[in-house]
Amino acid sequence: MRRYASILLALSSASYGITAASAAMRPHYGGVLRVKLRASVRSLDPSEAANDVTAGAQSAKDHLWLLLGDRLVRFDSAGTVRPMLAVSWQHNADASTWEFRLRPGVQWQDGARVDGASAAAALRAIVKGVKVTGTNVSVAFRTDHPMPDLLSILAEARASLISKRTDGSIVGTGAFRLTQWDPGRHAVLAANENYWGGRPFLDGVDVEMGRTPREQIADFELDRADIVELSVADVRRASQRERRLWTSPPAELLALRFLPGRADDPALREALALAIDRQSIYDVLLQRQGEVCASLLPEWISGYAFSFPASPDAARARQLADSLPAASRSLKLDLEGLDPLAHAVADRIAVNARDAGLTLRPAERGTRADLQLVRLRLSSPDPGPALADLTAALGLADTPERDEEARYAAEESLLADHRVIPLAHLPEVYGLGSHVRNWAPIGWTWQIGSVWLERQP
Amino acid sequence: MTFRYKLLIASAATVLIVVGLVTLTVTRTARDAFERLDTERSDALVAQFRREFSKRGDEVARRMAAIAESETAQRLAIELGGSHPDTAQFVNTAQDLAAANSLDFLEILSGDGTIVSSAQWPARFGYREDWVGQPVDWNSRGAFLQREELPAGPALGLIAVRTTSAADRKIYFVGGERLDRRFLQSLAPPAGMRAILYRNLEPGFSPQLLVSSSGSVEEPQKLEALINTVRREMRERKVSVQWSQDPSSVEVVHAIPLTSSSSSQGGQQLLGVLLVASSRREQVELEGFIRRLGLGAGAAGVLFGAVLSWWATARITRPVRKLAQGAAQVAAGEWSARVEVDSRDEIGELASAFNEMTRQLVEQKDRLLQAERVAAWRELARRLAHELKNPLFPLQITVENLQRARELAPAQFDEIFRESTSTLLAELENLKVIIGRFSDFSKMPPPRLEAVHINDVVRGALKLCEAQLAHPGRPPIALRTEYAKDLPALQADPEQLQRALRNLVLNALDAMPGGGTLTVRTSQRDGAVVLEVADTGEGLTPEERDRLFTPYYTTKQHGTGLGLAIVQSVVSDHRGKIAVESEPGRGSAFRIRLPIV
Repeated sequence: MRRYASILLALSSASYGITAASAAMRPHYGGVLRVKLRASVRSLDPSEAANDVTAGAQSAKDHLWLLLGDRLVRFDSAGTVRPMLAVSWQHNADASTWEFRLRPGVQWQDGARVDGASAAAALRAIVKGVKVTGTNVSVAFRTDHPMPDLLSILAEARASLISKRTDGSIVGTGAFRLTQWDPGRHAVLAANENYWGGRPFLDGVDVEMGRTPREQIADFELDRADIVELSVADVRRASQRERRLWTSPPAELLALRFLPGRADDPALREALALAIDRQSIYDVLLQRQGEVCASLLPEWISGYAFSFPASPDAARARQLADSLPAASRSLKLDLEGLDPLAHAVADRIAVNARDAGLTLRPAERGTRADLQLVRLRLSSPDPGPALADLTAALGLADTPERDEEARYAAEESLLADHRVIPLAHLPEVYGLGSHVRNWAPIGWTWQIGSVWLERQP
Repeated sequence: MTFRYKLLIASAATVLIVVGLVTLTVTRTARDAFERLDTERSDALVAQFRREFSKRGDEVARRMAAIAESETAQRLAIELGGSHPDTAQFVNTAQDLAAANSLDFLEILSGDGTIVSSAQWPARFGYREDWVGQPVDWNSRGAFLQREELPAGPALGLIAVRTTSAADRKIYFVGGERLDRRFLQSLAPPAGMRAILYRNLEPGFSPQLLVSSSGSVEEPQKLEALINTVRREMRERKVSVQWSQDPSSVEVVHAIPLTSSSSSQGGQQLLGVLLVASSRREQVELEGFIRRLGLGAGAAGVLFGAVLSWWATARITRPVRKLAQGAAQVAAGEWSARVEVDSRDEIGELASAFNEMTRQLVEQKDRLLQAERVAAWRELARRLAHELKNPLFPLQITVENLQRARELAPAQFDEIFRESTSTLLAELENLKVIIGRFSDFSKMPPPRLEAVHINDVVRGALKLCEAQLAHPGRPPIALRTEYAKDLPALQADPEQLQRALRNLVLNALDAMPGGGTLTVRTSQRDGAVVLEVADTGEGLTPEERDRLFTPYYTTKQHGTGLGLAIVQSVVSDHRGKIAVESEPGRGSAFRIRLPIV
């Protein structure tokens, strides 16, 4: 935890020095932050939404949840877990029972007091397999096995205290409250005047969802948005136009995943894995954003990613492909729902596969694909929960380990049969409007509460 | 078939043949003209394609030169000419340049041939195209055909290469147009013609590599042999292809090999086959129209010819028909028949000759009849004299004896008188019999017809002749009868038939004075009942046979010569025929044929 925390700090500090520049100016209240997101979030109830680690969709949910609700604990910029709604916590010797003492005086956005019971009710659906109980001033987590990662889990965005009331309204504990909700399209949030941490600078946040990359760029160029998502492919162009950008540490895993029951010949999977020239993809298509990888966790989280060989071996790939029957050298790749960048990466992989003697074609609609190209968002900067969520999302055996060496061995074992072929870890890139000030996320977690907008001249 | 119909058919056939020949000639002439026109059109399109191809090549080269001379190209050359060029920023440049210059293909290659950016296959960045490094002055070289690799498979392109240099570093721009349906459509073939392109991108023939300006190529296998021939021989070929059962679906396909004359791939390769197809629909439809017109005109001609021939043959054959009718009348015995023909041609002469012939026939007939009558009277007189002379002589002797006996004693006179009167009475009786026979012959009544079974008539007649057959002292004559079964009844006079048959039987008995066999046989043959009476007597000489039925002719010592004449008369009255077969020493056979009505 301490090691990746220092890297996180370094990455955050390297983000164009926005914080330093903004801090020199005096903040003031007012204004609505206009955010344009590509994904469409259809439900804000954490108990209803599955833990969707698909990049984009999960990112959008996390951002909205973090606006609406606070967590019991949070990561600070150094990667240390800090109190948030919980002022203190303690656990027993084997970490199977945890108790968090709640911050006094905190209210739900509908005016109700945040007590142990209401907090437990909100978290019960989030921390599955754990008995969550609440008292007047605390929340307790009990299970029959150790929960060493509980703090990291509770620091994730999905652990924000958000509740769906009986009338269907969504209320949280965060700096902003939901005033308008058009599922999948539009969310309008207003500043929570009773926020325990003090009223945010912004009067509100207007979030428009389902915006295509082209629309987002247009919004960005025409100053119709303050925050837009950008593809890594657009980073160079935006930089050349001297637009403000913010790039997160690698937060997504781009990987190929063979679907269950397909491509059962290990030689076929290995041939494809060895045929892929990741460096060319990184240099050209990813515009050298993020990092090349052959591991599930990025280097800044795991510390061992560099030891997974990512170089291609075209000769060996062809040798393996030649050993296969001609009929089994063809693969269908599912690209459903992916952005143009992923399509470009898939095209390049197809070229590499062709050199090895393999045929990789997009799967037509209605046909069964052999593998899919996935972009998965890391759920936590803590390697344990992050790996656990990734393996779950990839359909791999769930073997999270606290120990770094054991985790390395586990990850190596998970990837040995090439059912998952990691390609790269990508950052999240956002374009920032020129009057956005004090944009200082921690890791990939936005801190909208501290953002303010410079008045237009 | 009558002469008139023959003449009619001949006339109609003549018209038909003439019309058919005219139609055939017109059709063939039209076909030859269309084929010449088709050849000219096909050659024109091929020439047009060559010009268009050349023009397109020039246009591609011009656009590529514009790209190479653009500011973007200069910036690219400068950027890529650095020590550590960042090629990633240009990965989409080729697509932008290709779109701006309406090019299907464009690749930007660094000095070592590495793909920096590819419009047609963006993912191929980093790969090398070594062929651009060959010692060629690309900037002066025109466009050429080249095989281009694409994600979906190879394609055929009209490619030009241009270079841009900066600080002794060179970059290549390789781009052009794709030879596909759009390209073929841009050739704007004239109506009735279409261009088909076979992209020779695989070792064997593949229907998927065929693309047509008019859409998909149906039944591409019909072009397989032609394309394979061109691929093998690398020279132009021309064949006709019928796409369906419809004859108008025929197209003349002119196959032109497209080679990499300025190839990047070394040597001259066949990269495609251009098929210029010219529809023969108009020609076939015109031929069909001419054929239908010919058939219609032929039918009308035949109809008109038939009517005309009918009228003409009627005029021509009318006198012939009159002649035929006249001849038939003559054949029926009406010798005085005449034919009225007004024409003065050969038919008129023939009619005149016919009339002259009948006139002479009538005259000769009259003369013959008169002569026969004279002969008959003479014969009658002879027979009558002969018959009467026999009894007259005894009468004369008897009367003279009576005269002489008057001077004898009364007793002797009485005796002589008694004997003489007895003789006179006997001879007078003979005279009476003779006269009776002549009287009977002259009084032959017309037959009284009724349904008669011939076998019954035969049995009746034979019964009447039993006494003669069994006459004592006569050598034995065996009677053999053969009656046919199921003979139909005849309309006949049974008494006359019986009388005729009895005459024949008695004649047969007379012909066998030394005995023999009498055969009486009935049968049915060719719509008639045949009655045959045969003997095994001495037979007849040819002269006797010829005069056998002449009245009053007889070969017997005391015959009147009327028996067979009566038989012939009876048979004739029953519309029958009588014939005799006989040879001397082998007997005679009389056959009476009576028609069954």
